[in-house]
Amino acid sequence: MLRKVVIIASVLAAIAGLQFVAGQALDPYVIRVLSVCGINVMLAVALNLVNGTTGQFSIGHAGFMAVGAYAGAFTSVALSHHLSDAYGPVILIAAALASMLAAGLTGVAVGVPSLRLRGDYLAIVTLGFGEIIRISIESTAAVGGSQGFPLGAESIPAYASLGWIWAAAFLGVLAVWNLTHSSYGRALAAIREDEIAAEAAGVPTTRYKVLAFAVSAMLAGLAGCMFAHDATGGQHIDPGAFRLDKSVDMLVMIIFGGLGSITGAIVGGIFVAVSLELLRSVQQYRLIVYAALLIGMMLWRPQGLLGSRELTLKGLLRLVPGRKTERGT
Amino acid sequence: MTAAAAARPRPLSERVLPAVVALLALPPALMVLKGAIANPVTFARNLVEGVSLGGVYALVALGYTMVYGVLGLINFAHSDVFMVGAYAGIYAAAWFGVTATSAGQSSPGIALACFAAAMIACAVLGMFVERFAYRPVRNAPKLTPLVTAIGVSMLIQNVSMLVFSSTPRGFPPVIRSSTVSLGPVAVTNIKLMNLGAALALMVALTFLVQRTRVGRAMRAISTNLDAARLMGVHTDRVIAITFGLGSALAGAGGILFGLDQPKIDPLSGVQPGLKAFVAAVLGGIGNIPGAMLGGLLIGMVEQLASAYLSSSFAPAIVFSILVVVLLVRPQGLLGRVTREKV
Repeated sequence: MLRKVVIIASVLAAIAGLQFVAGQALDPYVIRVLSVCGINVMLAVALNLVNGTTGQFSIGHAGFMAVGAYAGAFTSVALSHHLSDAYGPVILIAAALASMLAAGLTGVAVGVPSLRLRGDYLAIVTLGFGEIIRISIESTAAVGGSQGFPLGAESIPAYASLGWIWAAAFLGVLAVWNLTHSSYGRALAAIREDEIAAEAAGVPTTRYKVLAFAVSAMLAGLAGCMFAHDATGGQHIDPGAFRLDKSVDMLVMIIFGGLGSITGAIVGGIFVAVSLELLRSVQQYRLIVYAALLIGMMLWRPQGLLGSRELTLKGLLRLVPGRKTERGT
Repeated sequence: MTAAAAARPRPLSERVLPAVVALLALPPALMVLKGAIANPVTFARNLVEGVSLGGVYALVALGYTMVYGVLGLINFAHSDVFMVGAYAGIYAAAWFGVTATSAGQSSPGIALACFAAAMIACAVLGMFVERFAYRPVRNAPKLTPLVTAIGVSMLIQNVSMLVFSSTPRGFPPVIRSSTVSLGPVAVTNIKLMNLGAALALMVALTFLVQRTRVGRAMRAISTNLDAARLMGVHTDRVIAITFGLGSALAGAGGILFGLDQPKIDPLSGVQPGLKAFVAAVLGGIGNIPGAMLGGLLIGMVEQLASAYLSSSFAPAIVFSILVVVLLVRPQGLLGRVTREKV
C-alpha cells in the first residue's frame, strides 16, 4: 500500500518536474511532440481495454474522442466567459469531467445495443456509430458544423499544458491498470478467452463488456478533451479530425504494442506520435509504412510486439547482458 | 464459423427495439411522404436516380457479399479496389484520347474498352491481394484477417495517392451526357445507362453462380470450405476466382460511379464502399440476391434522404440502417439465421 502511494506520488512529482523543465528549457517543438505522445497514450490504453483486454473489436473510438473533445471544449469556452484565466486549472478539470461524462454516456448508449454482436459484426457497428457521431457533429450548426468549434474569433482556452496532459494520461492509465488487475479484469479476460465459457461460469458478460466499453470511452473522451485544450495545438477542433483514419491510427498503436498489454499500448502510442515526427519529411510514405507494418504484423506477429505481456522493470533488467538472472518461467 | 450475432434471445429488448426503431423512422418517413405528395414528378425523378445509384452500390455490395460468403471475411480493401477501377477507366480513356477536358471523340467502343480495362485491372488487383495478404492469414483467428484487410485498404489508398496524385480529377466523358424523358420525368442518360449496366452485370453473375461449374464450386465452399475441398474442389483457385469476379464488378461500379461524379480522388472510394457494405448487410451478408436488393434500397434511401431531409445528414441515415439491421435482424432481409456453437 505504502509502496503504491510512493510510486504514484513520485510519478506525479516527476510530471510536475517535467512541466517545470518544459516551461524553462524545452524547445516548443519537443513540447508539442511530448504532448501528442501523452494524448496518444490515453487513446491507445483506452482502445486496448476493449480490443485487447476484453477481446471485443471497436473501430469507432474516434467518435468517443470527438464527443469528449466537443463536450470539453463547449464547457471550457462557456466557463471562460465567466471566470478569469487564473481559474484555468479549475476550468480544465471541469471540462475534463464533462468530457468523460459525455463520452462515458455515449459509450454506454453505443455499447448496450452493439455489444450483443461479436467479432466483425461488432467492428462494423462501431464503425457505423463512429461515422454517425462525426456526421451528426458535422451537420449540427450549434457546434459549428463542418467549420469546427468554436466559431468566429473565439478559441478554446489553451489550458492543457504538457504537465496536465501527462497527469491525465497517468491517472487514466492507473485507473485502467487497477481495473484490469482486479476481479473485474479477470472477468474481462475470461470474456476474451471464451465468452460462452465465461457466461457459463457465472460472469454477467453483457454487463462487464458494457463496463469496459464505457470506461474505455471515458478515457478516449478525456484524450479528446486534452486534444482540444492542448496548449501546443490549434485551439480549434473540427469534425475532420475524428474520421475513420483516427480510429485506424489507434488500432495501429495497440496492434504495434500488443493486444492486451497496457505497457504495450503506451509504447505503441508513443511510437505512432514519434514516428509521425520522424517521417514528417517523407510524409507521403508515412501511412504506407503504417499499412505495411499492419499487414506485416498480421502475417508474422499477429499478437503484436509484446503480445499480452507487460513491460516491467524486472523484465527490462533481465535484458541487460552480464546480469545474473533467474528465469522462473 | 459464421459468428452471427444475437446469440441468445433477449425477450424484452427484442420486443422494445422494433418499436423504438419504428418510432424513430416515423418522422423522416413522413417528411418524405409530404414531399412526394407536394411534387410527385420530382419524387419520381428522385426514385429513378436513387435506383440508379443503388445499382452501383449493388455491384460493389456483390463483391463484399461473395467474399464474405466464401471466407467469412469483411474485405475492407474492396472500396479501394472500386476506386482503382475508376482510375483505370480514366487511364484507359486517356489512352484512347478522351480526357476530362477534351470531349467530342467519345464512342460506345471506347466506353466498352474502359469498362473492360477497369474490370481486368480490378480483377488482377483483387486476386493479388487475396494471394499475398489474405491467403496466409486465412486460418488465423477471425480478427487477424480483419486487421489485415484494414491494412490493405490503407496501403491501396496511400499508394494511390502517390501513383494517381491526391488532386481530384474529373472523369472523362466517355459517354456524352444528355437528358432523357420518361413521360413527365426527365433524367440523364448516364443514370439510365448505369442502371442498365448494373442490372446486366447482376444477371450475368447470377447465371455464373447458379449455372456453371465454378459457380457450383463457390456455393459449395460457402456452405462448407473443408467439405468442398474433400469433395475435390480446388478451393484456393475458386476463392481466387471469387475475389477476381467481385473485384471486376467493383471495377465496373467504379466507372459507373465516376461517370456520375464531378470529381474523384484516391479516397473517394471510402464512403460509397461503406454504403455498399451497409447494402450487403441489409440484404443479408453472404447472400447474392440480398446484396442486389440491399444495394437498390440503400441507393433509394440515400437519394430520398438527401432530397427531402438533409444532404449532409443522409450518410448518417444510411449508417443508422446498418446499426438497426444488425440489432434487429442481423441475418439481413434475405439471409438465413445461423447460430453460434461452442
